[in-house]
Amino acid sequence: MMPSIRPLGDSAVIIHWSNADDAEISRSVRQLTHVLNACGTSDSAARFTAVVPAFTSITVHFCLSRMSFQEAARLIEQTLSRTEDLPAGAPAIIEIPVCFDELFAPDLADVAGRHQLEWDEVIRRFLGAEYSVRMVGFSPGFPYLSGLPTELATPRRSSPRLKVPRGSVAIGGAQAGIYSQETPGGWNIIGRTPLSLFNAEVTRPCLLTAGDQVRFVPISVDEFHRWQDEQ
Amino acid sequence: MSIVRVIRAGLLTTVQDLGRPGFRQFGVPTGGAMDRFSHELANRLVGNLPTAATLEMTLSGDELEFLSPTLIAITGAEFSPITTNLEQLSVPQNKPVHVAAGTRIRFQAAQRGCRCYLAVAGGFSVPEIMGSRSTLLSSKLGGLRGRALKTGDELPVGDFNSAEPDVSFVSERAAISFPAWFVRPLALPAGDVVTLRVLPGEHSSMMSAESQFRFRDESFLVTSQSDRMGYRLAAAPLILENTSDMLSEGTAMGTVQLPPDGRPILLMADSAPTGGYRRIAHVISADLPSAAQARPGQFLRFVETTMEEARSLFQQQRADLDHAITMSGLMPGVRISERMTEPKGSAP
Repeated sequence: MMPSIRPLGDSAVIIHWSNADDAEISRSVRQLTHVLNACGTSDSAARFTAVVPAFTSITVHFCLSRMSFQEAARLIEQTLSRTEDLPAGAPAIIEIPVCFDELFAPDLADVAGRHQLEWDEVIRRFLGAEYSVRMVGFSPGFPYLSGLPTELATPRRSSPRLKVPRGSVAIGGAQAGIYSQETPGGWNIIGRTPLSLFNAEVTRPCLLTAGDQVRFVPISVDEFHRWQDEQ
Repeated sequence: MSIVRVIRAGLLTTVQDLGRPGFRQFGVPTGGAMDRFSHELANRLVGNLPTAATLEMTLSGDELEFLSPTLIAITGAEFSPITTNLEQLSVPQNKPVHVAAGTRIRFQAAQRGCRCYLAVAGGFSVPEIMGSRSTLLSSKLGGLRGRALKTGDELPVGDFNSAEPDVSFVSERAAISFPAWFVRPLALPAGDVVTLRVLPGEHSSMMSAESQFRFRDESFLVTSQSDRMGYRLAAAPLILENTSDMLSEGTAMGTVQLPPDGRPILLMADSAPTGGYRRIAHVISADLPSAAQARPGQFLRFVETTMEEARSLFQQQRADLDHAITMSGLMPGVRISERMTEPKGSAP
């Protein structure tokens, strides 16, 4: 399916697939992001300053002193026509340890109550699914994850918390996410990972990128602290 | 290494450069100077590359002491800078100024505009984080320990300033010395209304016909809830006819979003790279510096333009920046000792 290509102001282009969040669009987004990033090293596309994948779109920013919107759109169209049949490449699979102790899971009881499930059953179903990073956003390194079992979907809290601890694993509507920094937030917190999702000091600052597959692995409070000390 | 010491910190002064656009895909805002034209102009006047870090002062400036002889340039908003240690001399803007060792300069409250930029030859050499020295306050990273300047801070200046400037206007004995010429600065908004040219947003037609008309016809107050992330604007609420939820998508500096409460938000340098609100307009790149100079209490007016005009206005600005190099005779990134001694431009 060919996406639409439209301007986002005078120095960015938004490539948009029809407004449904399904696996095929996800694959197209991942594939084209990969190609646009990879051509970043070749002459022509090196002129893109940023490639930002989202659920059903990719936003490409360019430098207005080097090209016009028309030129940027043409470059992207050419890339699209060349890459339509390429395989998307296998996504990376990343395991994320999570401690579900009530110490770290202030909303687990609410989630369990709403769906009339035992705590253990919520955790079991949550762990049983495989997740896909659809977008990194909200704050540096925050992954929006699809793949949450539909029976665990829980609306955002009516009043957001002013401070959600870093590493909190949470459910927001039909999606899961991990707070990469201490920020305000309204998602339901069901656990916490000791992993650092964002570290500005290293070459690859984010643990996860759009397209990665995520599996959660349960750990105890002791293991949580051991992981944390090791980092 | 040369040092600039903060004698008294201003309201909100941060180290800024051109930001870190390549990290938008990880949820990291681009950041960098709000008024990139003035940032770059200041750098060009002292022979820096556009990527060198400057200080961005907001509404009320700092008092600074230059511990070594330094070539500086001040651009952007008018903060009426004066020397304070010997006699009170007014320090001119929009031209290179040579400052003798020990000189103190006080930047006062902004008379016009909102943000001024101070460049030093060699740039402020705080550590690079993710390819940039810009301060990202929301993530407490970059700049000087990820925060605004405080009284007592010491800012290191890049090595390239170690060569003695031999530019013709320099008088070694004077606290400050400068040439007669100056370059054309950004036109600062005069009066209460700042006019910004926009391109239509993808969702502008989702507003009621009456709201579409009002968006082009009315002025929007820049509220006190305005900062480096964005400006919250106030007017009678604009009505979205299509209120369906949308998935988050890419945004840009200059994007005007319309949340369900009907009060538009103009996204600025530190805005998140993606957003889930409808996009009703985009301020053109050439007018983002003017937007950066608007202050709370002023009004914004949006006037529609075309893609072609947006690019041609941007290219005119680039030409103005190139002119600054011709005037200063300082080629970006070339050591001062290797530079021409006579500025090419004639005094006005």
